[in-house]
Amino acid sequence: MNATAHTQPHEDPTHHHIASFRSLFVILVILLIMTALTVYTAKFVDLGEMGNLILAMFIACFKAILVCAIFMHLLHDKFLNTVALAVCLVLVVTFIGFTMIDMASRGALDPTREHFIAPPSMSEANINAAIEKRDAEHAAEGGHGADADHGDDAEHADDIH
Amino acid sequence: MTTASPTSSKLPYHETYKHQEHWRNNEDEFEGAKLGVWLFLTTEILLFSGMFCGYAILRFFYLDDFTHASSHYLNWKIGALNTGVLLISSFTVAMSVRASQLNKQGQLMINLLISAICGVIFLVVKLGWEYGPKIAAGELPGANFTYAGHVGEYVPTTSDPVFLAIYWVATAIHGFHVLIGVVLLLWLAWRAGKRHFGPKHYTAVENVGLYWHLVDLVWIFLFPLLYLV
Repeated sequence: MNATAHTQPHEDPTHHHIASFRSLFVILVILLIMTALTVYTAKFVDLGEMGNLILAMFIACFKAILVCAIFMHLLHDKFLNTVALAVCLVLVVTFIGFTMIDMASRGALDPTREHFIAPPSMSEANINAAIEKRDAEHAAEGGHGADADHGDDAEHADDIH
Repeated sequence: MTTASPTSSKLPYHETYKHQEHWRNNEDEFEGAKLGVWLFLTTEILLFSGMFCGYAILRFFYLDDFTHASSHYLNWKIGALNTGVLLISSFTVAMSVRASQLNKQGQLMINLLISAICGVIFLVVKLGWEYGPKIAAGELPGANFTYAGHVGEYVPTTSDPVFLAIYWVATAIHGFHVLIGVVLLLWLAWRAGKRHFGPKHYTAVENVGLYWHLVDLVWIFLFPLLYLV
């Protein structure tokens, strides 16, 4: 087959849609711009605790739709492929959504359970050990001696966040 | 084809490919294979959504600490670089599908190789600039956490090993998927060299492309959740 002699640019023997270079490249540019936008709004614009997260997720969803529709050809494929993906997304939203409903209502029946109380963990012991080791090395090198702030970590473990 | 001589010309693999017995025709086999890959991709989405759910739960518990931990332990510029690399590789994978549809074998090979190289760049940046320094500094998940911070500066909190746990698990499993994708892309490039792919037969290119786009999609969500907020 002679590649330069196709008279119908978007048809081939199997009648599949052939994406044009321009559409693919434009989508790439949009994706890169969206990434830059995500980084900019997350790092340099303050929208509150959850605001940045929600905006970033919206932008990520928009990028995902572009990738699915154009790069993965869902727009030009049989609808069954989109149905498979849509069903999967319904399950994912149910999974995470119901878990979040549970998390948000922890204190509704028993107020003492509203905040998670971390059990004493190995990590706390590890952190204290590491800080003591660091301070010992620092003192051995002739520094100003260990400071006492590793004691704060033991207090932080019981903090309710 | 470069020669018109009937005695020496032999049609390439993609011209004479015939479907397997249980399909009516090549078209059905292609569509069936593509649907199969989409069903596999849904299982991959559910795999990663388990990790995203874990992230959501842990973030609920340690909201402020996650933000501090993220900005201290992770470099968003490296994450952004990796995001750009994967987005470009998604573009070149889509271009390789297009090239096989138009029988542009040279373009097909180049795009497959660029995609594989982008995947390797992603892995090298991740392993060399993120994982390596982290392991050296003791910024490891959970019980392996031995990082002490620097004197007079950041003091690790008990939620840091938790943040690092979700970071390591999510990015390592994603990185493993990238590695598999690189291997698949190199396999495709090898087959493309043997002229297996053309307008009438490019099933493998299409399907590996779908897998690679999913890997990119997962990273599109992982990057802001771990590095930016």
